[in-house]
Amino acid sequence: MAGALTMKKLLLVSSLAALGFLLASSLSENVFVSWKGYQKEYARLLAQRARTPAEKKEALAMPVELRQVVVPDLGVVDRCVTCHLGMEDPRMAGTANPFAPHPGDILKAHPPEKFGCTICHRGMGAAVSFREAKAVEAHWDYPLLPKDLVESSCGICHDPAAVESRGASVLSRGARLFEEMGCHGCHRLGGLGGSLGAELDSVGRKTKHQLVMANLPGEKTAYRWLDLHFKDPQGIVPNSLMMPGYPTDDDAYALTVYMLSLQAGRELPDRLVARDRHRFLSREHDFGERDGKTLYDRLCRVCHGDGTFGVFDRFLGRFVPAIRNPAFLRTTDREFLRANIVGGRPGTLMAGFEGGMNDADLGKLLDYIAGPGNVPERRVETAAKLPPGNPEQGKRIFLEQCAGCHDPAKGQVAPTLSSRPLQEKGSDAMILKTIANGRPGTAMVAFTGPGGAGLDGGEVADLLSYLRTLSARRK
Amino acid sequence: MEAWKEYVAGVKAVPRSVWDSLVRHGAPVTDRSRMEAVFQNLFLHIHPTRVHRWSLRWSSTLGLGLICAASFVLLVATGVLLMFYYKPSTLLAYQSIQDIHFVVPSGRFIRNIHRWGAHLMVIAVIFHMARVFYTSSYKTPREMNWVFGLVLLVLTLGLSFSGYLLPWDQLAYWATTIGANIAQSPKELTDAAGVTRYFDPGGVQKTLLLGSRSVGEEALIRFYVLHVMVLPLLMLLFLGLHFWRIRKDGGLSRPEDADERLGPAGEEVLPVFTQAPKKSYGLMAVVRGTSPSVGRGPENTVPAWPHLMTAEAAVFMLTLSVTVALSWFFDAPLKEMANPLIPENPAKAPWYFLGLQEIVSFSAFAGGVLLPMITLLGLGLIPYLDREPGGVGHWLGKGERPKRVFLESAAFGLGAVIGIEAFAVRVGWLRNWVPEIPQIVITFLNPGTLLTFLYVAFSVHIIRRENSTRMGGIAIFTCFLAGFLVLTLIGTYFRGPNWGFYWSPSDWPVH
Repeated sequence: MAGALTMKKLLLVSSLAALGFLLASSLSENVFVSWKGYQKEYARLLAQRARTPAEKKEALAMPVELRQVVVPDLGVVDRCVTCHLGMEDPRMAGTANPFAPHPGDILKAHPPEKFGCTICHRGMGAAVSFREAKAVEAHWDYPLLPKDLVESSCGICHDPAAVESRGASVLSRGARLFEEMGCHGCHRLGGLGGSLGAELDSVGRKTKHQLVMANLPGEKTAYRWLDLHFKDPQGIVPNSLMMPGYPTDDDAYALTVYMLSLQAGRELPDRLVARDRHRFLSREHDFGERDGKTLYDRLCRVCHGDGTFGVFDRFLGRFVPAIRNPAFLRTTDREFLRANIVGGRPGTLMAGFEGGMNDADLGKLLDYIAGPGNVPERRVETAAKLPPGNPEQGKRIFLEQCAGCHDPAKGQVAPTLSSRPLQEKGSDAMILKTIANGRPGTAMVAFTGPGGAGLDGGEVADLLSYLRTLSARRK
Repeated sequence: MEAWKEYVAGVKAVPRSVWDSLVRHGAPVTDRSRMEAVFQNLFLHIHPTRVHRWSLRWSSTLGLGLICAASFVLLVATGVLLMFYYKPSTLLAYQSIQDIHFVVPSGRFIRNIHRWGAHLMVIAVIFHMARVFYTSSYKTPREMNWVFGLVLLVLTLGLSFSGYLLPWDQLAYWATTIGANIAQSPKELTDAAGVTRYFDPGGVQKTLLLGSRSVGEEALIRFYVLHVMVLPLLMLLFLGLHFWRIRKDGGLSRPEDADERLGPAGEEVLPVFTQAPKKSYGLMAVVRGTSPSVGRGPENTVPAWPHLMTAEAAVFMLTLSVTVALSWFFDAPLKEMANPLIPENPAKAPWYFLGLQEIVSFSAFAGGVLLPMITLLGLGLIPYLDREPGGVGHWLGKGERPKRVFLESAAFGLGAVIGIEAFAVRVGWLRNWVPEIPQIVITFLNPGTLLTFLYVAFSVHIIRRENSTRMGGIAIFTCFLAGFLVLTLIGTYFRGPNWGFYWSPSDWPVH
């Protein structure tokens, strides 16, 4: 048996160890906590600045206790004021953090007892130490925003343009850049835009777990991700389709601030949402005139450029159709264009722009694309009657003549001929004219007639009959 | 006047007489009065008055059972403290844990003790079971106490798992979601039979557990009530039975030749009968059969007070000191608040279920129901299938043979589980070769069932070769431990997103 003495020694040693840890933890958690030190330091500073003995006495008698801001309708319990004690005390001007008063006069319009701290600054409001409140390398969805990103939070309750002169100039610049750079071309925001990229209505609420963090150097936070992703999309998300390399550092910063402000999915008490934001929402995120050119610049230009010439896009690895090419406009009609804009070209990078545009907008956009020439609503087919074609023959011709650019199996660089808008709304006449005359200004050359590739009428009929077999619906 | 004097004397004597009526023995200063105290006191009576010197040897029990009980006491104490602040509601639970963590006086430390104590208890319970098995302590008359021990194992796991949900963080939410899906796994069988519409025990189980289709408010309340009320009460009940049985079964098991091996008692062991026995032993008439004490004097026993109690106090304080040390150095995890929209990948159950989750990755029914049932049934039947007498109280029994069988079984158990897992990871399993294979085939033919089959076959082989059920028992139990260990390690350290195999989390793919 274990000697009674050994047992007693074990009892003694383990009791002492347990006692030691219990004592140490009760001291470290309850007595030597950092916030108590800050409160004592604050009382000392306050006493130094006292103008009357009574003030001094009051300062020194300040109780050392936990302080918190509770805003029930926001679900907020912010203990930041436990250490940031001088937030609303002008006497503390000139002191270092955490005692300095809040910069600017923003607290006048946003009293902490009604807003709390974390609605603007983020971070873990429940924590009472700086490291944990900052919550960067912590299990917390919304870490403290660096100072220069805090103005993003104005956009939660305000129209960015309305607060431009009131401290949120970067935010409103970011909002303008977003419109001007044509981001809507791929990203839907406020109902307007394509669906090739992510929808951005609530991108500001995304947590680090919803973003690909593997290639992000350094601290893994959503705001760093946004900033670096703007500068190098493919470096952060390999194979991203996002257009690389166009924002400068300043632009990326402004865009990041704007992205962080996008929190449409967040439920806010009505009392917080500013009137300018209600007006803004009713205008559907539109900054300028809603004319055809503006719409074209925002939605189409990012891929189609000016649209008059067919340009090979190295990034997308293909020709982007020249939608304002005169030869194209001479063969097409508004119904076809509208079908392409609204429905997109499934199977290609062209996404549909169903949302965000009403009929009037669409009409203006079509007017702009049509330009000065006349593009009728529906082009009457005037082409001569062709003999019925043989699809088998047509397939052979297609493989010889067209597949080099149009075959999806061979690294296609030209428009997809099987897509629904073309098959359903593109008339035979348009297809025939395009084959016959080509599209000057693009890579599409003429295939018949003098100087053409030498297809005769019968062969063109075969080709057309083959192309019509590509219809997605018939498959 | 006499009455008045008596009355005054009575008043003066009140403290004394109340004390005497409360404690009906003298001051516990002699062995005899201490034994009397143990005998007379409801709480101390959980001890025998005297305990055999063999039971106090380090190597007899390693104190494992006591560690389990000590952690349970710690968990109850810290759990009650946590209940004062915890709010079982999906809106408030996470915030209340944050409050406990940040502002409740010593709340962080108390929660840490509760968390690490729970893990410690699970580990101690498993080790305790292994100790009882390898010292043959489940043999007659202790069969039923082994079964009670298994019930306690299940209750321990249940308590730990039900507590897992309460912080309402991402870890809790997704681990519980996995647990609930495992509860639903009989659906795999009923689906295969095409009768789920009429007979859906899996769905019923999941609904019973969650009170809803997914983890939410109802599930949280259910887990809370189970965790703070139902399971602890059951635990107390079975702990009582477990301890009571130890007493009734003649104390802790010890070898038949314990007395000879201990040698003559040292000077600290005083003779038992320093005074003439005052009690009759009339009750002996109702005691059936032979008890382990029959035909033997109490010569090699020592009074439980102080010897056993010192040992108990030492083990308790040791458990406490280890737990508080862990709690000082490591904070209990608290991940982001539960968010049903952001699934954890990989979502992992608590560590002690990761061996099962490894099998669940092939078949939920096999890993979630079939194998645990087979394991529990097999463990429960051990004392009834191995009825060979002898070897009790020896680690692995006497002679070289059990040690050889143990090593052989450990090698086979480890080899089989590593081999099968390596095969499944490297080469793949049925689904990789025949994508359209019906799930029911995998339900019954997967690494888990194959492993079980191999283990059972191996132990049958050992029974026949060694002509001994005890050797077969050693084989199957050792194999089971090896399998549990390896599968748990793989599930814990080598499984990443989508349950893929990775040597290290740094190899996890970009999602």
